[in-house]
Amino acid sequence: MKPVLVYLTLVGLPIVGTFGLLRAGQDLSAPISVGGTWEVRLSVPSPPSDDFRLPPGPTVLKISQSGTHLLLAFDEKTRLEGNVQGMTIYTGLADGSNSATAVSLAPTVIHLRATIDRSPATDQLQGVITFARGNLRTEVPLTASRQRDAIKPGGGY
Amino acid sequence: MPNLAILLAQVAVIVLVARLVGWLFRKLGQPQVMGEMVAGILLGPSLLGWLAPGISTALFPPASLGFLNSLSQIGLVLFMFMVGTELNPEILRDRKHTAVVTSHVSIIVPFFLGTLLAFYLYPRLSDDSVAFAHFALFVGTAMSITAFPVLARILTERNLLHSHIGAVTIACAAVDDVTAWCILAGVVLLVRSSGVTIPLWLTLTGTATYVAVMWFGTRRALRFLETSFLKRKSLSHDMMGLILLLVLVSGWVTERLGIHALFGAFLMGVVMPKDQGFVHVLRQRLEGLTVVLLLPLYFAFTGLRTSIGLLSGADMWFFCSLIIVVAIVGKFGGATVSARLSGMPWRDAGAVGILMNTRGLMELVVLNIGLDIGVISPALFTMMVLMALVTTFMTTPLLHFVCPAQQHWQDIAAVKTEGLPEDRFEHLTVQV
Repeated sequence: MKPVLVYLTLVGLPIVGTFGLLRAGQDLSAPISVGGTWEVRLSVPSPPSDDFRLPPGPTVLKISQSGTHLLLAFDEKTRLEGNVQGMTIYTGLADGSNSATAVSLAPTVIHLRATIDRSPATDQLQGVITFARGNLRTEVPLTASRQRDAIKPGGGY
Repeated sequence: MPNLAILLAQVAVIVLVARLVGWLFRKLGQPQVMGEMVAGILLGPSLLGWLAPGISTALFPPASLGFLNSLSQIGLVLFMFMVGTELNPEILRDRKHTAVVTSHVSIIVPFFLGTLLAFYLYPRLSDDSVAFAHFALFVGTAMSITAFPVLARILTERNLLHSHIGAVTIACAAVDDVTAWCILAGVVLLVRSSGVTIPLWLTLTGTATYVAVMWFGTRRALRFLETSFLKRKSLSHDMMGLILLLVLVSGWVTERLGIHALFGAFLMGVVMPKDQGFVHVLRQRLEGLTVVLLLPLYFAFTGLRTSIGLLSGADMWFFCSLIIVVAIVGKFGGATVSARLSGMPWRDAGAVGILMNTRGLMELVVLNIGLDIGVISPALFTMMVLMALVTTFMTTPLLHFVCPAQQHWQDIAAVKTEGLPEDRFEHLTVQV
């Protein structure tokens, strides 16, 4: 009798608990998915800077997402670290990116703020990149569309 | 076309670093595989990419990684086949009760705690493209894994394989391995069913049919290999060619069914004839190439995807610590308590718990699958790789503490007096 009781307690209870957790977890919500590859277009060329420069044409933005934490890489080079809150992405400049090694007396500080628009065809980003160097501050509007092939089976990226 | 020069340079550097770090870890009393896992991390963005980004980019340009991955996947397919050949239902004989209770508990307790942890981590480390159920099932599975081959290696190196502890642990790990792989196949199937062209019902019925054909048909048909081997006392090149062909075809079938090529390779290993001489020679033939050359490529590829830099901030390190603690409590605690309740003394039960807590390479395989199918994020992947390293690293010193060498020999003597055949587990280990 004892082995059966031990088995039922140590195996049966966790099984029931697991099913309970799976059921309860259906109500949980996670941050919006923004990970993957995006095609970015700037409305005007980015201002001249040793730290960061984007061409006026389309450029590739890769976002690596872990919950609310984001790592954005423009053209596999300049990296920005940020997070997603609600439907908006906020970033600053990541340590170890190109510009971190090119810091001059007044380094360019880059911020990105963009809102996600989930349209049935493809997800869109709309926002601005702000370049701040000393007292100089330039805002460049950007739009981006998510590349479909970047979305993996199962919904990840 | 791959750039052959780059590929050769990559392979050469990886093998060199793997052997060097493996040697260093052996000197520290750790299994070789532990060093090779660390070598992979050192070659990735966590160290080489951080210290010398130029060299890292030149040696591992992103465009070349596909070829490196393909090579390492072939190595992994062969390795999973070798792991499958190790599984022998004979192991369970005489120890059915303890092994079944301990193995089931050591799966379900960490699985439950993993699901509980997923409840906390899902809003923090996942996103809304992953369903909670998929995320939770995957985290649960990752927590339940035991590294059967690494464990067998540790037991051999410490002369514990013939002891009561060793026999129970190896039996539990065998049951764990099969169960965890079945659960993982189910998780992969669930996650992929929303994205691949093959319908779910076809995957389910196809997989069930394939497993039945392999178990009831192929397993019996393959006995001619054993007969032929026993007649010739050797494994001819034609036989090796046939076996490799069967492994690749089996991997191809399960990959096409929408689960993973690894399951097919593993299954082919499981249904191979289990004559110890045959299996031993077969593994010897495959071992050098697979373990020395191809597996380090897999560790390096895993290391290239592991970026400790992603764990920025106290909150990320807190999540990582929490994962490690939950993994240890679930596996070590579950196995120890159940072994104790099955009648083992506390010391032996503790040793079983320590051994079952070894995650090793099998955990990396599971995590890579999770990252590939998009069910875990890169940061969570990194945290779980660290968990695999910590749980594997702690096994040997803890075991040494709980089971001093003198005690092993008493155990072995006790087992021998119970009348168990001495060669039962002689050829059980894959040399990693």
